[in-house]
This record gives sequence, C-alpha cells and structure tokens, in this order.
Amino acid sequence: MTSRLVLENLRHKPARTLLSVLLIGVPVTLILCLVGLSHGMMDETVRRTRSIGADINVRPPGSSMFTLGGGMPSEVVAVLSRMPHVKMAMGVVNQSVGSLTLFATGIDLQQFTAMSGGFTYLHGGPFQGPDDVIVDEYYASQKHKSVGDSIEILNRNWRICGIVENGKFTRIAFPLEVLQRKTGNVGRVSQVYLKLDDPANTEAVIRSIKSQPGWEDYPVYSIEEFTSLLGTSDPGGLKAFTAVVMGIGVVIGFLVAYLSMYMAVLQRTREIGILKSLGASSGFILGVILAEAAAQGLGGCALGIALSFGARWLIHFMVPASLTMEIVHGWWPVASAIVLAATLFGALYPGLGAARQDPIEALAYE
Amino acid sequence: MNRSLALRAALTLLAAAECAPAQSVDQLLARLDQAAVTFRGAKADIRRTSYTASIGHTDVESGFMLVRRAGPGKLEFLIDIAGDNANVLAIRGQTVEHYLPAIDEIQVYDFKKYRDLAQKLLALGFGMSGRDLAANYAISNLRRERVGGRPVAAVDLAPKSQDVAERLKKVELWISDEAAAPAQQKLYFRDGNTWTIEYSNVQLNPKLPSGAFDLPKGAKRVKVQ
Repeated sequence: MTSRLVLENLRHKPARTLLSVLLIGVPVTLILCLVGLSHGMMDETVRRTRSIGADINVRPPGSSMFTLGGGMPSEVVAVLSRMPHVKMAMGVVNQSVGSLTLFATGIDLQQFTAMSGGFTYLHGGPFQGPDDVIVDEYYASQKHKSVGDSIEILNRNWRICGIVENGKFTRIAFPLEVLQRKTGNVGRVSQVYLKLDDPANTEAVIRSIKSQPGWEDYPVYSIEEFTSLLGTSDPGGLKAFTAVVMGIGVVIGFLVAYLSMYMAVLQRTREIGILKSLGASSGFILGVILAEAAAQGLGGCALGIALSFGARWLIHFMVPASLTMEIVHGWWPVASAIVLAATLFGALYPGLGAARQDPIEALAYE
Repeated sequence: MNRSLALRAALTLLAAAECAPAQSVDQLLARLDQAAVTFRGAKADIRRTSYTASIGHTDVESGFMLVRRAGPGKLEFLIDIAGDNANVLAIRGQTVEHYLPAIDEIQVYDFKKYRDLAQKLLALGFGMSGRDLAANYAISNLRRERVGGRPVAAVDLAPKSQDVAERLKKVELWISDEAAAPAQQKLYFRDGNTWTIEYSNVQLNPKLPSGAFDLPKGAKRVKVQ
C-alpha cells in the first residue's frame, strides 16, 4: 500500500521527481569525483615512481627550503654513486608546468634508460637537440599535438621529438641540463634516484647514507616507503576540498528534500485529509512522506554514481595528462549514505507537518 | 678663525663618536637602535657562498639587493642574482615572488606559514634595531675584525625562537663600523651547511626609482603551493 502510494506520488509530478533526483545526485557525483581524483592522481604518481626502477630516493635537506628552488648540488649524484651497493645514481630536476598536478622533468636520457629500461616510443624518438621535448601520449592528446609539432611549455616553444607510452616516470621530459638552465638550477638537482646491486640491500644503504657526516638531515627513502608516503599525501588539497563538498552535499540534499516534500505536502493536503478520514495514522502519513524522500534519495544516489562514470570519461577525454580519476567503489555507500541521511532529515519537517494535519481542515483545503 | 676651528674639531669629535667601535654588546645594540631610526632603505652588492657539508661542496652566487622600509616594522626586499642561475627574489609582506628570467615566470610563494621565521631572519639584515636583534637572538663573543679591509664588530648569535633554532644552529654577524649595517653574515644550518653573505658597496637611504622593487609586468605568474 505504502509503496504503491509512493510510486503514484512520484509519477504524478514527474518533472519535480526528476529534478529532485538530479539535484540529489549532483553532490553524490561531486564527492565521488573528488575522491576518485585524489585516488587516481596518487595511484598514478606511485605507478610512475615505481616505473623508474630505482630502489632509493634522496631528496634535498631541510636547509634547501631557503633556496626556494629547493635543489641540492649535482655533485651529490657522483658522491652517492660511489657508495657501496649503489649500481647507479640519477639526478633529476622537476618543474611545475602551469598546474599543481603537471610536472616537467629534466633527465639524462642515457641514465634514465639504463635505470628504467627507457621510454616506449609510440612516435618519434629521443632528444635530437636542446629545443626538444618528449611527451607522453596523454599530454600529446590533451594538447592535440604530434611528433614534430611545436608546443609551448614554460613560456617558450619546443619541438616534440617523441611521444611515449603513458605511465613511465614523467609526462614531459627535457634534457637535464636544459631544464636546469631554464629553471635557474644549473649545477643543482631536485631529487636523486639510486639503483642498487640488490634490492635486499636497500635498508643497509639507507642506514649507511644517513650515518655519513652531513647526510643526517637528507630525506632518504626506499621507493616502497616513498610511494607509501605519496599514497597518504593530499594532491592539491583535495581532501579538504572533498570535506567541503561533503558539507555542501549534506546541505543540498537537505534543502532539496525539504522543498520537494514541503511542496508535495502542500499540493496533497486534500489527499492527506482523505487518507486520514479513511483511518490512516500519523505514522503512516509520515512513513509515506519519508519513503517518497528515500525513493528520490536512492534515485539521486544511483544517478550520482552513474554520472561519476561520465565525469571520469569526460576528464580522460578533455585533460588526460593533468587529471587522473578512478572509480572508487568503496566510496559509493559512503557518499550515498551521507546524501541519503541529509535527504531524509530534510523530509522530516514537512512529513511531521503532514502527519499532524487535521482531516476536516485538510478536506476543506482549496 | 678660532671659532671655525673649534666648530670643526667639535664636528670631527662628534663624527668620531658616532663611528666609534662598539666596546660592549650594549654599545653595539645602541648604535643599531640609533641607525634603525633613520633607516629608510639600502642598496648593496651581495655575494653568497653556500657550503654543502655532505659533499664538501662550495657554490658562489652574486648580485645586488635592495631593501626599503614600507611601514613600521615592515621591510621589503629585492635580491637580484646574476650568472648562470640568474633569478630575482622579491619579498613583500607574506609573499615571496621568485622571478626566473629564462622562462619569464614569477613563482609566487605564500610565506604566511614561515612569517615568524622570515621576520626573525630578516631582523639580521639592514634596518634591524638592536632591540629586535636582542629580542630574537642571544648575543655573545663580541670581537673586532676586518671584512673587505674595513673594521667591523663581529658577534655570535644563537636563535631564541625554537622555530628558528630547529633550522639554524648559529649566526655570525659582522657589523660595519662605518654604517652600522651588516658587512657580512654567516648562517650555520643544523645539517652542517652554511651560507656566508658578504655585502659591499653599501648605500644607506639611497634614492631609488619608484619601480625599483617591481618584477617584470608581462611575466607569467604561477602560485606555488
């Protein structure tokens, strides 16, 4: 009986029902998109870091914060490469490219190939000159560029010499000395990667580096530890933003349900009067209103989840290099529960109003 | 004639008294307090020698710096480094702007988080008052030395703030007898690295063009997190 009433009520005003479902779905999509972006970007960074084939990552010490560029002298690379069990050391320079999530990396291509196995070229090949840049397929697609095209990066034009498969270390690679010169880092590197003779020696090598005088303050991590640290970081402050969107989702869900159910109760005053004269209890009336809100909420959650797939496709189609979004199934119930709870809470006040209505007054209502 | 001679002698004595080398820390701080009152700005050539203890490596950069008082307790800086790693640093309030001429880009850093640290470090520079210096650092080992052939008073400074002390073990400061302004600073970082900053051709309260502290208008601005 209740479900039939709810269904008929929803069908009676399809435009309002669809609008409510859509509005409830939007915050669900937003929450899922932000969580998906956070997971996607972290997982992407972790995959890229692992693809280098290194065992240890060395970063500049704390005092380098005063240099802003944050680098350390290139000589560090040679010193580290001479340490026991270190098979090879590679220094790189990183530079943000117009967004928080996109970086260009200066590499010594020969060293990079020796350490990681090298890029897989889809088109073109390695650097031919100082004006060359290698980009991955996603960045090339985002910028609608092919090999030989000119591309503006860091406020000047470069020639794309190679387009490589996605997922290897960096999306944009420059010759090391070129990026050092362009970013005021001549003689400096941002990070050093070490490949060992045997990964089993990782902890021993880290201890050995940290025990050398002057090295105590250098952050030295195994790649496993480094990637797990990346996994707990917060790209672009997305966690705080997600919390804000969750708050907005709660408010929107509450308001949509409140307004929708308030309108429904006003429009159905006579019907409520008839139901009450036929013996329907206050609890039954409240139950119908809440069930209707829950149906809209569930519809909104389903739509929100479906829209998150659309958002992922759109992000991948429009900006595959800048943003990576994953579908995080574990967050479906969380986002749905948050928005559904807000929806039910919003429907409570009009529902109680309907339940308290006097049947005679309701029947006289025009 | 006699009156003129007497006046000259009095002025010479006064000048000598102003430039008299500090015999005690209190005298040095008093000189700095006095100089800070009239300080409006400065221009100087700088040479920074960075020592990286882990590899025993020394790196030298040089350029010039401008500093001006923008209000009570507010100093603005422009540090222009020449050479291979040419770059310009503009420090205003809680913002640090880093201009990279090779890519015509200004990277904007929000220094709110490091405001206290920056103020305490900047208190070591031009326009510092003795009161501020004593409030932020424990002063010891006053001695007489020469920097670039000029007589200076040198002191050792230990940061009082924990925030600064976490990064800086000690600072050596050489203050010019001539201008009551820093002639040299040496910063000893916790990791054993040091920075030695030498100042030369120091001009106090120079006339600077209005746009002297501006970075290139057309440069692309990027906010760095």
